[in-house]
Amino acid sequence: MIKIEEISKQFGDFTALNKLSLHIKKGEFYSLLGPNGAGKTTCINIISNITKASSGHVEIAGFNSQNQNQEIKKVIGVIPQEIALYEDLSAFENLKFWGKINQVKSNILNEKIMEILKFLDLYDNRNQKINSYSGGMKRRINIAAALLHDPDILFMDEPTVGIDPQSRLFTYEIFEKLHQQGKTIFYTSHNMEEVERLSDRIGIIDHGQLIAEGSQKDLKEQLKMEETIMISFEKNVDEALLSNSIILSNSYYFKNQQLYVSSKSANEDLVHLLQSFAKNDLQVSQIEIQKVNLEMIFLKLTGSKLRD
Amino acid sequence: MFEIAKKDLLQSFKDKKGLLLSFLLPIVLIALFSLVYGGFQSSSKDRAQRLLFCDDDQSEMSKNLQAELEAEKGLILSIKPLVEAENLVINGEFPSALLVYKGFEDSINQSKSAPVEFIYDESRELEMGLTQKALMSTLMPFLGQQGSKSQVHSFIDDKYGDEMPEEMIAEIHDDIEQQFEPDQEESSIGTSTIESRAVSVKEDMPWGLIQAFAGTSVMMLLFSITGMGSSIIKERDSGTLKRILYSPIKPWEIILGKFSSGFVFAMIQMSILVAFAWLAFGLDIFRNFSGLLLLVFATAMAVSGFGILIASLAKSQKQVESLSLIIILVMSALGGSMMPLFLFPEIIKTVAHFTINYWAIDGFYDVLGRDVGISGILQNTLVLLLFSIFSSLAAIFVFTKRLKKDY
Repeated sequence: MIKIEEISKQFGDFTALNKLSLHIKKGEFYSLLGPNGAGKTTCINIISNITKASSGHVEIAGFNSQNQNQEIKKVIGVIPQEIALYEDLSAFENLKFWGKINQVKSNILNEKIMEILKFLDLYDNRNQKINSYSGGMKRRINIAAALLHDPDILFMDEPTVGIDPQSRLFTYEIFEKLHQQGKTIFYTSHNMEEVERLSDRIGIIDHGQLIAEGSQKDLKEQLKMEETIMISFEKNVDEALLSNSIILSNSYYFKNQQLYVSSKSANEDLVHLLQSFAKNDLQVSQIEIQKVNLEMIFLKLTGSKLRD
Repeated sequence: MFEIAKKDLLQSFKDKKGLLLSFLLPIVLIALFSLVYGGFQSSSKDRAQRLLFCDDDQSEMSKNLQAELEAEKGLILSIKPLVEAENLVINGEFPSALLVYKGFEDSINQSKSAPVEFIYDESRELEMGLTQKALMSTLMPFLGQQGSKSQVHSFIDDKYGDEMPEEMIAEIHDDIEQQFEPDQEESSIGTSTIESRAVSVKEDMPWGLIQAFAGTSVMMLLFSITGMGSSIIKERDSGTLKRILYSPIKPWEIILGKFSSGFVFAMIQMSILVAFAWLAFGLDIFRNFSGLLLLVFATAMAVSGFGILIASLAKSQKQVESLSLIIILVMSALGGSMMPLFLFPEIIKTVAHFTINYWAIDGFYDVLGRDVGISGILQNTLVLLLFSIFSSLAAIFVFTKRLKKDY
């Protein structure tokens, strides 16, 4: 459904994408995971045809991006990172505009808008101006605007940025329903949880290059990572002090005063860690051994942490 | 394309404060300026004024007068046949004309009142003070000098013509001619008078109001439409422009959509201002109503093109504001929105031709004050439409180029 062959994009001296190749199947939920500035949005801009690649080839639903731009735009829907709506217009007026812009026929547009508003649980608020909406509601209308022309392929560029936890869960459910409806979804994020929850396959991108790709299981196998040791401390710990205490070759990250260490043999590594903490007078309050998560995979691959 | 225009208009009409300002401010300014121009008549700046010279006498003396007037720094003389003079003034092509009728030289030689007439466009009465000042400083000494000289020549001929030899009489006439050379006879101001009359299609035409209406409307229209055009920048900053680009809409359609919303808004604004000038001040808008509609249409087109061009050239909202403020103020000042053009030097009057204001205001003078018919405003309409086409094409070019750079 989406074929990207060795696309590169240069902005002056800066290389945003470097020979990136992706193949996404029909009905697949594919997530491109990477930190800010990794090239995710540039990738979406190129495959949705508003940015020209410096080199490479893109094919969407059998249409060539070089000369079938208009055909491609009819089969894709893009949910942008920002809330791209008219704040001074109502939800209904916004959707009417976006529907017409995407060439939805007038005789079915109103019906389509009502259907989507109900699907997104915003029907009762349809006549309210967008500037009176909560952040979560705006996000949902932002999604709705991309669905009106019933595209087969959806590009979602970090669509849950800045959303509250409750709305986030509701949004995940929407995406899951869309996936179940058979939509092909190309999703970019730097949020591990949603990528873990939603994706069939994950691509990890850093500095414009694809560094790993596969299902979460595939990635773990590729890296031979099995477990994550999670350690909480009694007092607040200085991360710098902590890094001095760990004499392991294993990857680790420190988040919310909790240390996560990847391990192939958790028991052996845990003994080693506890000895080291005792020497540095670090009081451990809780230890948990978890299955390896995406964040740890990313850390192992890139050597850096993802920012939330 | 029309969806973008419809959406922009919907947004504009939802902004009640902005809307009120768009319509109320020009109304207040029109009222204010019409008061100001009403009391403007005493201006007497010494500026070069255009004068049409029509010589039906074609005598040596009338040619001398032409030469004298051409040498006058305060006048820019154009020569046309007498039969065309009145129409050229009524149509506004020339502010005034000096008509020298047949028998001019004979009358002066016979010390009779010279058949000379000064006619002027009543709508430009304000500037006639300047023209007359320049004209009279040349014309009156000339007529006085020629009259006195003729009288002396006649006196010598009558008194001594039969008694003195011809050679001596001729020598005396030569001496008289030398004595009346202009640099030696600066004080010889005669008693001749010339008729002057205002020519216009209607008595008591409210030229001050027409100036205030035309000048203010065009200037305020430029501000409103540039504000609307700048929604391109707002759309870019808010991400909606990028979202539009994800759709099958092409960049030129976005620009034409913005142009269309600006045009509709401009038509509405102009219509309200025309109606206001009619209802509140009794401006006769029906004397050439089809011409007025044509001119409102052309002005709205020109202003809309200008608005989107400025918005396309600017990189930020702040740039749109400062760029439009500078350009509109300069264009309004040069184009006659703020002050009638006759107050400016000739070079500025030439530069004024490059402004929307000039062509629109001149056209409004024609349709509201002069009976020129549709044909009389065709040039203005054509120039305004050309402004519109070129600025829109330039806007599409700049916008498309910028999109490539931005994304």
